Amino acid sequence: MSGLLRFCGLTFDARIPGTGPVGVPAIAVPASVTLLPLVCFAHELLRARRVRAHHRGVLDMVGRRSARWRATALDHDTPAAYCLPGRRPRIVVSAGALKLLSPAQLESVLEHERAHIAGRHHLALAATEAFARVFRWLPLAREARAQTALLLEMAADDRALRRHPREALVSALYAMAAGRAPGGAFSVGGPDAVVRLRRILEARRRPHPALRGMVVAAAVAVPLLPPLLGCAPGMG
Amino acid sequence: MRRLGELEAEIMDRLWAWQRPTTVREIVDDINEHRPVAYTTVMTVASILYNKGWLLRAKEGRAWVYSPVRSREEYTAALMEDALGTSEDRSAALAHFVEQMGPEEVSALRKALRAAGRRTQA
Repeated sequence: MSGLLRFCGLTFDARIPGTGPVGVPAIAVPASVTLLPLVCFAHELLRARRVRAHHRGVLDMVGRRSARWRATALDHDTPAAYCLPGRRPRIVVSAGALKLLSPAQLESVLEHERAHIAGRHHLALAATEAFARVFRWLPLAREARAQTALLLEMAADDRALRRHPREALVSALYAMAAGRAPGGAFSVGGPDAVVRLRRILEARRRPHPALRGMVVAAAVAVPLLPPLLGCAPGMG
Repeated sequence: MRRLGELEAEIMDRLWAWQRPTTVREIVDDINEHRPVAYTTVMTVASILYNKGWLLRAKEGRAWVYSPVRSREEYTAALMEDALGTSEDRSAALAHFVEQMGPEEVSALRKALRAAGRRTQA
């Protein structure tokens, strides 16, 4: 970066007349802007791990290991499936889900949870969580957290779809959503399940490699535009 | 270490099932019907469980009697609340299959499914 700036004719020893040597604030402010999200990310990772460890401790005592499904069964009527990612991962299904779903549906649901674990999705979630904490007042930060969660669900759906028929996943998604007794339960997160279901139902073909390459190139180039434009010859 | 966890779970299983204050002797006798286990081992693990906050204990004559702090159902409900709970501060600890949903979302799902069904029949 400094090489780039020097190339653009901005050298670090350029002093504005009338100012003394660089003060502490001039270093502290950019440093803290960089470090704070990193510190917060580490903190969030540790916090989430603590929460998971506690949850796992209770789960191992209360749940029953199902060798057949390679999961832990919880004796509860609400249909649910979730996973505890991390170093000692667990996949959890409730008795309600076991009762509601056919073996084929259950397999696709478990595959979805395995995808979360294998893809280490909790790291991405922790990153957006930390970002949302640091920049609390930014709508973008809150939005990023919600959208990341949804995208991770979609990624897990895709992996389940690679190994199991579409009908199994779609019907499981619907059955579990409809099987929840919304007894005054606070609904959350907008219509995520609806978005996922529509996406799975639309038979999609993979985009052409050239299109994908262009999207990636654009994603890399866009953040670089401001410094490049700012350093254009004659601007400095 | 894993064996200790197993014994902890075995002890809790029995206390949850019996639902009454129980002595270590009773637990040992019951486990001994399936496999040998030393009285002192069970006594040690029971006091570990007491220290971890899983069990309450009281003196009855010369022996301790143990009972669970909370029922199995209560712990299970707390776990589900943890996993499906929908506070603004979504912990990054759990990944789900479906979120808690409201009735209007469920009906939107049903519509999407019906539309797809019509498309495939058409």
